Amino acid sequence: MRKYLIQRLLHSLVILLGVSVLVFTLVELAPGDIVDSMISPEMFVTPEVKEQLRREYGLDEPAPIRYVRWLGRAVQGDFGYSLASRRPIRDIILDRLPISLQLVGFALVISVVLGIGTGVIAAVKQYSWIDYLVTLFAFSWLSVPGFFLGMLMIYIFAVRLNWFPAFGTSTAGAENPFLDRLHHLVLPGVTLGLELTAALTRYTRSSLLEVLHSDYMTTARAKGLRERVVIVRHGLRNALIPIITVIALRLPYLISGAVVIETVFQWPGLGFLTLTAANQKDYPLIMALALAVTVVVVASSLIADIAYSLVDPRIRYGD
Amino acid sequence: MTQDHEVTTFDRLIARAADGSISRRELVKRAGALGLGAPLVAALLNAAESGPARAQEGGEVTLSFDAGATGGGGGKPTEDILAYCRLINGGTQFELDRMVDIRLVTLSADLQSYVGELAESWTLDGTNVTFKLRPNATWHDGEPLTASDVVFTINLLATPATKSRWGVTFRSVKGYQELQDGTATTMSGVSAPDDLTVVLELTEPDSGLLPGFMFISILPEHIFQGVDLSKVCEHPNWTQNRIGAGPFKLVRLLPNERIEMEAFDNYVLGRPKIDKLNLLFFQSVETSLAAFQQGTNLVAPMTVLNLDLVESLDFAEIVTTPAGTGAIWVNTAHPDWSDKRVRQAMSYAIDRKAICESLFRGYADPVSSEIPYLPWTQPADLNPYDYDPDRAKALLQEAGWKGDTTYTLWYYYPDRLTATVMEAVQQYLDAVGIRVELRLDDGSGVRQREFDEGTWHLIYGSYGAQPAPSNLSVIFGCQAQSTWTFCNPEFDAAMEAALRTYDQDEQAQYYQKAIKILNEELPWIWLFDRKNLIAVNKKLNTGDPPAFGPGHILYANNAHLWTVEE
Repeated sequence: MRKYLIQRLLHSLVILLGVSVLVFTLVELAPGDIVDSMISPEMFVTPEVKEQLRREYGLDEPAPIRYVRWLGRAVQGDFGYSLASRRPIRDIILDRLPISLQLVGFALVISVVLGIGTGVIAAVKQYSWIDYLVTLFAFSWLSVPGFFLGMLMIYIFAVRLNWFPAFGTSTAGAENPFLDRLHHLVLPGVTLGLELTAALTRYTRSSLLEVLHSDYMTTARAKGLRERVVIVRHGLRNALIPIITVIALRLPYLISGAVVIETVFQWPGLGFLTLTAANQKDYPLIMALALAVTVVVVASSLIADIAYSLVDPRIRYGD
Repeated sequence: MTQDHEVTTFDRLIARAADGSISRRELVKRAGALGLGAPLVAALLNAAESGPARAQEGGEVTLSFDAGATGGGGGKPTEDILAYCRLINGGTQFELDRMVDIRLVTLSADLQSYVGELAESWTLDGTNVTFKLRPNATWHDGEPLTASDVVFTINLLATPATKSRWGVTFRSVKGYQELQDGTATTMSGVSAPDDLTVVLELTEPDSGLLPGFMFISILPEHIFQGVDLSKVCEHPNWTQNRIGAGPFKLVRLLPNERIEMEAFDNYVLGRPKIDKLNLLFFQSVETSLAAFQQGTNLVAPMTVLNLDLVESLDFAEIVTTPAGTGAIWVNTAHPDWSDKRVRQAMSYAIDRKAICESLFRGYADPVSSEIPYLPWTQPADLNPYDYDPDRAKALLQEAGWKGDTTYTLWYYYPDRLTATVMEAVQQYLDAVGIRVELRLDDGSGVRQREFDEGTWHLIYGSYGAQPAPSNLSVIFGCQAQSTWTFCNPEFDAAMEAALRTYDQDEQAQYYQKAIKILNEELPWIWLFDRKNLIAVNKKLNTGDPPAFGPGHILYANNAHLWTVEE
């Protein structure tokens, strides 16, 4: 297992390096730079001033040299300064990370609880009206794009019913900041979580259905165990193995989905930041964010593998 | 006497009926006793029903402004400290400045004259300019605000190390050149003979000086004293513990979320009536309007595309303000565009009226020259360039137009309305034989490069409403020829003459001459004077006219007098 882990970590490093080169190249190839995006068409700036700005930002050096410099600092955890805000990128990301984690965490909890719950019900009551209903909703959420769902949620639950705030993370002068935050989390959290919920519902249903018809389930029933115990202890436990993989592998989708959802709901997390950074051509920030997402993708697939072996004793790596 | 008495009784009756202190039955009875006829009684009952809700002192107001949502100006609470420090490039936080800071003078709501903020009065007399300050002004931290702070601010801005864009405002102050050359550290022409008087001695009369002051927030000397001027914008005062002397104090700034402020008890013009003020900045106009419908923000920017929605809300009204003129900028240095007949042909070719009526749904007026929202600068004999495609074709023929090239027409507003307007313009031009290809500037820098290199043809752009006519020189003066390509010595002479007199009638004469030249020469093809649309909740009363300007709060906003109904 240890040997396998070391191997995987080394692979991950190669992937990270590759991604950083790729992102750097893409940012390089995109027309324009931060100086262009900083200067609005109404501003009177001479080309000389712009050249000076480029020199100040170190943009006048050749791309490979800039890449190597950046890499040298990045391995020490220093991602440099954001060109737009002139703050250390590490600080910006650390400021925004908790805000995004709250949203992604909330969405994850909702989708695991709802997704597995409805999946189990749909499987146990196969071909009943409830199964059809769950399937219908699951397919709907899977096919509706997040931004549209977000607008729909705002329209129904904020504008029409006025149950939840339409945007942001807090209300000015809220008496109970914790409850206020939860109140603000509901709409973006549910919107973000619905796609994963739908995916989990589908996977849980099919995985459980497969298990329900296996021999050991019949054995469990023959032993005289109650149906609930049979399903939860024997059925669900075995059915969960692929589900854990689904959750771990879907984590990156949740994070990239947050870019759209955070923008619709004006949730000032990393997703919102990614969009702003891209619009501003703030390339050190884009690089750091892209790398952060890569780390999450690589880590979640690693976690999926490890979780796999923990849940299913039959799976052993590298021995 | 009797009549007066009756009127008072009548008023009192309405008031009591409205606040519910007497019943409808009692109201009818008393009205009868007053001898009022049936129609008046009905009116009274109506008043009792819908009684005007009271504007109360206190309360919290949340406003939302444009962070690019409508393709207009405005800013957003970013992490970028330069957005808060207006010294270098003007910043984007107009709203915060206008609430937290104080200026000597500001522009009146109708954009036609200047009103005092910190200055109680001022005199402009040849090369002598004197400001008398209001007594008892204090900073948010309780320190007294004196003429010394004003002198400090002026010197700080004019010092080259600050790199302030407002420094040039003081170019005619004695000692400005020495300060630029580094032979002096302050300007000899700025002084404070006592705590309430600021005197500026000029080298020549300068009517651009007073308008310049409306952009200049007075800075607290006790906070900025001794800071490294080249790093003045990095001072924490801009985003934390900000000390100003305006009607509201900065409480908290949540990047990308909102700015929280509270009333300043010792504001020199009187404590604000509302207790708390929050500013929100939205990237999406839809989310902003959703929050507006929830009653979260009492003000929301909108576009004509949202008209049906906002008109359907009975608690909302639509306030319009000049947004500035939309125009096609022409590279007059390009051989194909250097003949003014070609430019005039373009102007005749476009049916501005149709664009204003159908695309802007009436929220724009056709124009054919600059600063149309300052009526005193407009000559009576402006050529409106009414739609006349035949005339356009004739002019093109006269000018020997070949029409064998397709030109690039850049535009940089990403909103849907602009794209539609651009398509209309493209068709109008095509109809007379001017072929253009539309190109949206996505910020990639290609347009900017063409502009810098002078290889551009046409750009559709819009300048925010310019309150000071003297600013026109920045674009159309020969000094700007290397960028803006236009130069006309007669225009420059008229602008210069206007700058050297304080008499508005005389200024008007020169400005009208300058504007007539622009209207004739058409360095730009002016299209329309767009209106900004702002949805305002009727609960909020900001006075008459409402205190909303181009995309944001007006210069003279009287924020201390705003009230909100509970």
